[in-house]
Amino acid sequence: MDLLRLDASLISISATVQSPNNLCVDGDSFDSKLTTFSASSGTLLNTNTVEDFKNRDKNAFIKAAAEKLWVDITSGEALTNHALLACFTLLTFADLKKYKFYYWFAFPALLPPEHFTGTISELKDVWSQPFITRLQSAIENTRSASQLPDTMFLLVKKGDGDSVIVGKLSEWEAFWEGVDEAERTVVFSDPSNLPSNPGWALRNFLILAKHRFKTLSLNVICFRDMLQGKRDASASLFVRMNLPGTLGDNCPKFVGWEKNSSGKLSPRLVDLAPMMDPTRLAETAV
Amino acid sequence: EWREYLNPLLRESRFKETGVLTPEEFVLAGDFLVYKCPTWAWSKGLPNKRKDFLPADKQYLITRNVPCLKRIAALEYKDGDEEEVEMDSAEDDDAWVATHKNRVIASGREAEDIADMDEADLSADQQKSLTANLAHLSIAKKEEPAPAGEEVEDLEDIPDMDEELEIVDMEEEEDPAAMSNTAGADDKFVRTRTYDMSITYDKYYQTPRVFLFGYDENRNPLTPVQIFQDISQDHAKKTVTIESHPHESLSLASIHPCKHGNVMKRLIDQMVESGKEELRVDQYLLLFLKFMSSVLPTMEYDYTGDGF
Repeated sequence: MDLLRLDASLISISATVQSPNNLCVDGDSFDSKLTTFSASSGTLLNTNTVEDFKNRDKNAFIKAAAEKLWVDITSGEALTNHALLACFTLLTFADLKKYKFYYWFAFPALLPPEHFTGTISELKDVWSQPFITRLQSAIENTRSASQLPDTMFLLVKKGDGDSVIVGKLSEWEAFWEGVDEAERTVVFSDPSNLPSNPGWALRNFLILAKHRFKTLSLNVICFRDMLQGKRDASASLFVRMNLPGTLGDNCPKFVGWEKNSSGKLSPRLVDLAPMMDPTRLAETAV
Repeated sequence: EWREYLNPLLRESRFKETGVLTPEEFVLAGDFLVYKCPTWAWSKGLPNKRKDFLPADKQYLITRNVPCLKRIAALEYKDGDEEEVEMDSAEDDDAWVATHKNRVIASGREAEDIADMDEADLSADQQKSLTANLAHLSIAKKEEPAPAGEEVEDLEDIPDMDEELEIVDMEEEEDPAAMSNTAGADDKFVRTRTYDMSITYDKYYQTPRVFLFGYDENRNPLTPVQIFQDISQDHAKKTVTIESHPHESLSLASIHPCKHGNVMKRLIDQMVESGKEELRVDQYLLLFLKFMSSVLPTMEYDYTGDGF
């Protein structure tokens, strides 16, 4: 608020996707140089009045973000910057007199022409443990050699002997040369820990795969490398996806406004007066 | 903050003698914690609050989303606990971590053996300083646990979107791919309170210091009164206060570090006495977190296991 003051224009921010099931927007979000494999790219609009927050055209607001996502997918930009697939847009209003903060996140997800379906298994039922271990170290090696967020999604195949080979999305055609379509597998660094729901960003990736590579089916490893605070990939999923239909040239339909805790499409509100109101702070001060 | 400013920087390692850390040792210990427990990460904090004695990208440690399943009130107390509290607080302020040492969390998790330190002897100096603290303690003892009325008052604070703000005519495309929002019978995921917990370096006390930001089951921030429900009653009103975070523009619940050095020194000595390997300085924070679990017994942030 100190820096933006009354500026009510749309600004670019970033966020980190945190396991499990969390997106974190904090002070670092205004630093555009965020470099991590689990980054999320977003926009923020802070309104100056509660009326503006309330009356602003919500459909137009998310539509702008969804259309930008579609451009990022069709232009190929999202191939090397996966944070664009995990995108969000955020509308806020800060009531600085009452220390109440209104906010509403939208996570645009493009809808496929026909429903994509998937069969979910546990990774450990499909791949043997030595392969999972090799996959884990191959992913970590690729990540440490890369500074850009282009490792949220990686290609993976089994090589000669018992080796596991990992590749970048930009190497798609060359990487799959001589590989049967049924064997094509993508590794998604999955922030979700739900047994049958991968992280949200996978939806936009599948739209990218559909649009760019005309994929009809794909295996996805939802790679979950943290379990109870330890490096442990045993909760990872293996999903066989069917991607029927064809995408046109225009931006598909989309969804994405976050629902509130009672499941309604509505903004949220936090009251930080207990943390910020000087008179109330004085009560707890010793 | 002015005290921090005036206090000279600790340069020589004294952690074995006094339980305190130099900034360099704090960074070493933090690096080891991040390596051992990937839920912890270094944070840069706000640029205008940067402390020059710490690396720019390693200002403080943070772990988010720490589940806190139960309130302290749900802990089971064994017979004799109360007696112990009286005895300890009457003659040994330092032993405050030892109270309720037999306490077990209702889930059956074993009490950490770290809490086992009531037989420590005191030097004459310590005795003197502790006697000086007694007056303060006796005032604190009179405080009753939060009356039920306070709870009710608090409920009014739960933020509710003003009705006029509710956007009723919002509609979106049908989305069969999204997870259903209604909790079905197969919903195994219990929503719990969670905490963002950060560890900063306190230059005045030369020890790590814990700050807490709590969320309720719906991710709304907890009020200080609600946070006190998750802090052991021996400490809630005495050693926990709402203070501004040294690296962020937030006022958070913090556990006052005035006794941290002494307690850490005791724990380190105890490890030596019990014939375990001597604590390396980079393991300091692993031990520190075990000590914190006596203050925050229901927060499940400690994934370090034995770790040593």
